[in-house]
This record gives sequence, C-alpha cells and structure tokens, in this order.
Amino acid sequence: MHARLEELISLRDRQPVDAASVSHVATCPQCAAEIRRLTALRSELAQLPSFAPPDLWPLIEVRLGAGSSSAPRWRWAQLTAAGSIVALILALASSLPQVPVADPVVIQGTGGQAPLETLVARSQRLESTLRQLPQRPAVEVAADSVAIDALQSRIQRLDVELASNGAEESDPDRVQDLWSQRVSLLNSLFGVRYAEAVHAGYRATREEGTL
Amino acid sequence: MSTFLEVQVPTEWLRRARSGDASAQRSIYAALGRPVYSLLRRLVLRPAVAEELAQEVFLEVLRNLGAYSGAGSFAGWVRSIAVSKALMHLRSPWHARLLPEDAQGAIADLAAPQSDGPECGSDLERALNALPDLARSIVWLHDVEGYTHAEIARLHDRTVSFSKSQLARAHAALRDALEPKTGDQPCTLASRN
Repeated sequence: MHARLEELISLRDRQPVDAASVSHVATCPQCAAEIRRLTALRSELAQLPSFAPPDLWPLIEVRLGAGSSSAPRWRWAQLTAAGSIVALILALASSLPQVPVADPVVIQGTGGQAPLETLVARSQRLESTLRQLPQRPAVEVAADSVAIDALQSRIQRLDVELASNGAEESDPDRVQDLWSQRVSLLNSLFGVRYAEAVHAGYRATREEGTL
Repeated sequence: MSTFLEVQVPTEWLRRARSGDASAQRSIYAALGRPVYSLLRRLVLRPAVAEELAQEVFLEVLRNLGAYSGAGSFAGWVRSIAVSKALMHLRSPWHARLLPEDAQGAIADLAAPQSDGPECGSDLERALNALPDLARSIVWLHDVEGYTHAEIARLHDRTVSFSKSQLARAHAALRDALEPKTGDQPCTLASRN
C-alpha cells in the first residue's frame, strides 16, 4: 500500500513518519516521484513573484500622527474639528427627536431593508471608516466610554452569532437581520466615536487658548 | 523561502524609530513594505484588503516597537503581526460574506501580479488562489514562510494533526488542478484524506 500524501509531505520536510512508510517509499518509484513533485512544487511556490505595494506610507504617516498628541497633522485636524463643533451640536440638538444621528462622512441609513450584499458592503465601509478615526482620547468622557463599550459588546455578540450562522443552510432572513443589526450598531458606534473625536479636538483647542 | 528572511533592519533604525524619528520609521516601511504586502496578498487575495491590512500592520509595528524584544529577527516579528492580521480578517464574518464580484475581481487581478519579478507560475497561482482561505493560508505559511505545523496549529487554535491533514488536502487539490487527468493515477489518490 502506498504512503499517504500527508506522510509523503512529512518525508519531504524531513519530519518523522512511521518506519513502514519509510521502508515503502524507499522501494516505491511512484512514491519517490511524488516526493520529488512535492519538493518541486514547494520551490515553485517560493519563486512566485512578489507584489509591489502602492505607496502606503503617506496614509500610515497620517494615521501614526493621529495617534500622537504632538503630531502637527492631528493638531491641524483638531483645529478643523473645533471649528465645526458648534454646528454639529446645533444639528444634533435640532434633529435628535426625529431622526438618527446623521453620519457627516459616509454612511447613510441603517439598511434595514437592504439586500445582504449591500449590508455586508456597508459594514465593511463602516469598519474601514472607524479605523480612520484617531485613537480615543487619553482623557475619556465616562458617558462616551460606556456607550462605546456597550456598542462594541453588542457587535461582538452579533459577530459570534453571525459566525455560527455562516453555514449555507442557515436561515437567510435571520442572517440578513443580524447583518442589518450590525450595520445599525456600527453606524451608532461611528456617531459616538466621531462626536468624541470632535469634542476632544475642541477641548484641546480650548485648552491651548487658555495657556 | 520567505522573503522576510532576506530583510535586515539595522538596530539604529529601530532605536531612532522608537524615539519618533519619522525618517527611520519610513525606512522600516520601505524595507518591509513589499514583503508585508506580498504576504497579505497571498493570504487575503484582495488588493484593497491587503492595502488596508498592511497599514494596520505598520501602525501596530511602529506604535509598539518597544514590544520587540530583540529575540529573533525584526522582520520575523513584523511577519508574525502581518500573519495575525490576515488570519483575523479571514476569520471575520464579513469576509465570509465577501461579495462574489469582489472575490472574482481579486482573483482576476492576481492573475497578473504587479511585480517586477520573473513571470512564472501562472497556472500555479490560479490553482493556489482557487484554494479555500484556510487551505491556502496553510500551504503558504508552511511551504513558503517555513512555519511549522505546531506554529500553524497555534495560529488557528487547532491541533498539529489538523494542520497536517489540511496541508495534505490542499496539496491534493493543487495536484488535481495542475495535473491533467490520466489513467495513471498518482500513488496517493486512493488514500487521500
């Protein structure tokens, strides 16, 4: 009986296998040829060309700066954010009872009736947008922290449920509902995080002005 | 062999980068940008995702340079972060629901990699890209990056046997994709996992 592929790979990699397999391969031209093929394939894989990345450094530099309180680019962003804080507060105060917090950057609506693919795409965009936000301020507002923690916990619970509903035989309506909830929660999380970032910029600017 | 092993990052760069020297940070990115991005492309396929993850990798690396103990190569430390990010992405529920057109675009794009390297292995690339995420990641990490089965098992929170069997299954699929069907069956076909 020929050696199993798993055993042949182990032999190729000079890993231990049982003595019977070693004895068989030593006298079996087919198995020996298979090991040679596996060895050649490993070399071909290693020789596949690499990919030239786009120049990501400008983006990385900006995001690095956003995480550092002394970075000039983030300081500039703080000043810009401070300029818009009054308008944001006024907008929130006038619209809170009637409509959800409008996302000032990218997201429209929560997608309750949207197709699954659209919900997934919205979720991806929201995740990406959240990652673009600066790191949370060193001095946190308690209410913001509680809200953010609660939203993140709910998203994590949804992710667990989505992972367990990932099989094809799962209920499509339930999966769609879960993704809809996820988009809604991410939307809310973005709103809180954005407001927190703007407020942090406003605080920093105000403190600078009093120095 | 992993291209990471060829990258040498001077300790002087690390010292300066730790103190916030932007030119040293950029030098680290310049040295490791290509291996990181290439590894991510092999694992996640989609260029846009690889770009986003590459940013995440370098942000984590540059913000946590103090966590690099100096044991082992710096490039190897960076690679471990890149692998972790890629596997986290592959496990995420939104990746499992990847839009079909996005996936097709990624695979089509991979057929012509943006590379100044030798033109080779297009059939192999197609076969590799057609593997399921888990299988592809195990093949790449084991056969190219040199990860042991024990290391792969830890990354996936599974057993060594799982890693070995998945690698064998992946190689069986690659063989099927790369070799024309003939009457002369390979010796391991009957005992394939």
